[in-house]
Amino acid sequence: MGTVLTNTGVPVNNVQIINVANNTGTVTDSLGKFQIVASLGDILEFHHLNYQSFFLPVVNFKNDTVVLQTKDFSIEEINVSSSSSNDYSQSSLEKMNQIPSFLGEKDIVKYLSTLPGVTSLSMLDEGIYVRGGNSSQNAYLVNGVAVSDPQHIGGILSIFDPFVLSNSKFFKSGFPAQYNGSLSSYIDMSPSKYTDNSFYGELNVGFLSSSVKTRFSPDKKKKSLLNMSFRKSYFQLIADLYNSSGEESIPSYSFSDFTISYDFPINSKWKVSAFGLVTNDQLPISVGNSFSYDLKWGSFSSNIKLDGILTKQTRISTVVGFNKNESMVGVLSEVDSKTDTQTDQLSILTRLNTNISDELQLVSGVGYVQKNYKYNQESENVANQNLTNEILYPFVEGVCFMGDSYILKAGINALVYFGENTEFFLSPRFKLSSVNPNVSWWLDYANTRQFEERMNVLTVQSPVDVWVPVGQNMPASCDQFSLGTKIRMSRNVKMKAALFHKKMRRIKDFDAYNRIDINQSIDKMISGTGNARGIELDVACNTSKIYSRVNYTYSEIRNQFADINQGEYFNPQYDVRHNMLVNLSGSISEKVKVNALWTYRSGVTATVPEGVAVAKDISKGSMEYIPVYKTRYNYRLPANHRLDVNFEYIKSLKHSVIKLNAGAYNVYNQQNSTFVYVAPENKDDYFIRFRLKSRVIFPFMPYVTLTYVL
Amino acid sequence: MIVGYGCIEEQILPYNNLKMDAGYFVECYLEPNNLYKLTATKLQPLNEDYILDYSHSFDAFIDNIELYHSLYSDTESGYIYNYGSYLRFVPKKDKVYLTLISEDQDTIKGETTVPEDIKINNFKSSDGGVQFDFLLSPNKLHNFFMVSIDSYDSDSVYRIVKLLDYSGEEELDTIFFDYSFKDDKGRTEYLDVVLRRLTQDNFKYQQSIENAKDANNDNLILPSPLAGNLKNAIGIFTCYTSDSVSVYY
Repeated sequence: MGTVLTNTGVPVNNVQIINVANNTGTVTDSLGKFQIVASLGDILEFHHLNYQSFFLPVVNFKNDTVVLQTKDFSIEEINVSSSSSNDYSQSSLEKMNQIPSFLGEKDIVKYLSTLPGVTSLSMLDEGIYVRGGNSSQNAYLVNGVAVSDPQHIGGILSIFDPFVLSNSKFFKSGFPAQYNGSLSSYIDMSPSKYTDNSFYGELNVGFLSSSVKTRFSPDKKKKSLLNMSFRKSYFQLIADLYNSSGEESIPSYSFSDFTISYDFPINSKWKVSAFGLVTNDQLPISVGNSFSYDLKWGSFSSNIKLDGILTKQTRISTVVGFNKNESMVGVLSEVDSKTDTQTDQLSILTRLNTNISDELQLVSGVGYVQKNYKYNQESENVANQNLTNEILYPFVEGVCFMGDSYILKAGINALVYFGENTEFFLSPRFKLSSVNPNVSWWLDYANTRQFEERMNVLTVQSPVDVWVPVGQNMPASCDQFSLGTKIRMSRNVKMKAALFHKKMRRIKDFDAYNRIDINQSIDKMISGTGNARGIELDVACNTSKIYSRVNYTYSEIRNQFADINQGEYFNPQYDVRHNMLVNLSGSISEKVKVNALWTYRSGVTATVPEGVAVAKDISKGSMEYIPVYKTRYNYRLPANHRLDVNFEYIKSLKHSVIKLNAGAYNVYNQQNSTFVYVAPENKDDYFIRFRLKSRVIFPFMPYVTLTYVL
Repeated sequence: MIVGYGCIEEQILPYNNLKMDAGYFVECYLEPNNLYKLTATKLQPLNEDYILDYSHSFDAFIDNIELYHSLYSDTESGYIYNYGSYLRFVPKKDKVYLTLISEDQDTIKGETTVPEDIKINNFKSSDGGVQFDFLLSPNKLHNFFMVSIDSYDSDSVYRIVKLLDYSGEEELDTIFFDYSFKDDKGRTEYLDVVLRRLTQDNFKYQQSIENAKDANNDNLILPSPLAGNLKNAIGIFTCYTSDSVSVYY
């Protein structure tokens, strides 16, 4: 139940409210009151001719007051009273529009990397790092079950197209009890539920890639909804042309993906949602005459979800998902090898939402995951390994509304791991929130477990990395606490601050640091401990013309492994002490929008040789300098900063719209060091000295894309 | 779509607090019927100017043969070493032992097996490539190999080195090696092919050396510490056997 008011407190009649999770709807009465069946986490869409439409997540079942703003206010102006429990960050296309989109492609993962407590390392590095956790400790879910690894290439473009996956909930602490299996964060995406019945089509044309996207209702009654997106690059054609003309070569990278979702109601109480995603990438890299890679990776993700109303107080949902990931790393060097890895994952999740009373809601269910890992390496010898992970996790969580201002959540995830020995793990969850229109706060604790770790194939996290189950090792475990507050400082300004602390046990790494022998590397999974703590500050100001946001995160990460750096504490490569972001977004006119994003990130650690040996090359008989690597993460690179800008020009035609996006990455061409290497140079006639030099990968890069919308 | 790139400048970075414990670095490759040659130096910290320092004094023995401290140079390759003997290495036992004792009484020890002899059979070469075969040993530990192919023309050398691990081979007793030159690299005046049989320790050491060089040249490659078989030093004490074919066109 709820009430819709204007910002002067007047009830609003005839506001159309749709629960986009199940396509049920209602309208407000003359007192602005409404009643709609919804579960925690569902999204309600509010429509009215005279007011700004917007989406609102359901965070409790109390009488909510929703305040609408007239259409001259932007969406961020909407004040949702007594509903902010700070459970998660919601990303949407509107929010992604506020940051520059590299190559014109909006990206969920890149948007998440702009949130406080979240960072990314470089454009080459896959994924995001959340509150001191590794990027391998994030779960990417669609409809509540896992999907494939997120990246097309490095941190440039993820496989998740927000056109189809337009809503995502991002949990970085206080995890609901249904989530387990990843230590640091959960990104739960859901397909677009826009109920506008008209046909929508979009054609994006660029020099390097293009895409076709559409959304429509294929049935006569317009109750179902089909979303489709196809993206394909042709950068490889330009690279091949360039490479055929000279000695130097650039990577001939290519990608494609196809995403589809289909929602249809069976009857007034039951509905089905289906989701599918297929990706394919290739990246050949040549390093001089004697060394080259051939990297290929692809994925298939699918799931089908059945939502239904069992009783007036109980809703049920069941999701069955299947994913397949394949990668191939071909290396041509002194030791030629070809390594194929494959993972198959079956996931089943059933969840019951029961409203016991107005004050108490119960969420319960059970999940099951079976994941198979296959490795095959061919050089002169052929090595195979097949491994399996299997977990079953019943969960239950109570949500108690205490008076008008407090919400207490407590739950437990009881996980059974079927390895060589069946083992049982309890992961408790707790969260106390105070909800108030002007000042709210929360305190939470969550324990999480992780039963696999990603083994880097390259120095950066990449889509060809190899996932390895913990096997006989104990799973990694994380206890995380966070304390935060959200303050509405004025009508337009909101401030959010949080403290976090993570204690990680038995986190995994790999002892053998090269990947010449994959079986040897897999067998050398090692365990250590990690500590992360930090502070986050986020201030957002939203007027009718300009949206601006500043956030700052301080974090400190210290890991310790008996088998790394002689057991001494070290800062892993994702130890970013200071991370700051300034975001401005606004409209110059009705046709021109501009947004800018300045980011500062303190230097991360890298592994550099500590010295040099003069060794004999037995194939030539001569001497050569050999860099000697003794310890990992022993050098801190300089800080990075850059400015990205994007201009969007919108031209409305009779039956269509044309959008022209022009912008630039790293506008002032800051020479940010991505890597470091050692080079000998003559100091004078007699001495040689060794210099540490930086490699800059992404300087100033302008782009332009054209979008045609039907 | 990217329509242009900014310029990329090379930057020299400070050493910061990069430290290194400058331990010993020792290399000795024994070849049957060749002179004893050994290099014993110290690792060079990055932040210090490098000078070829071969002055470190050791009592050096391979089995009961004493090596003498001096500065030696291979006339052909220019390789410099600081411990040698007028004697030639003649394998008499399966294992050979190294002992080095420094002036500070630091003791460096190593041992190596002596690989079986190796022979290139049925060698063929053309502009397109090189083919030959060689026999595997019933002893798996003797089935690590290095093939180097040097293709010379008037002003350049095209060099290919392949490390081959057949220690897991169960069925074959003969390996057919076939290398095809890329582009016109096989059009040459002089071709030199060397096949070496390595110890397992040396095979891993060569892999790690290549990996360390590759990791420094290409920052996507994971670096790794140098492998080796010495106690109290980084490096290798090993023996290899070899056979070679030279072709003049």
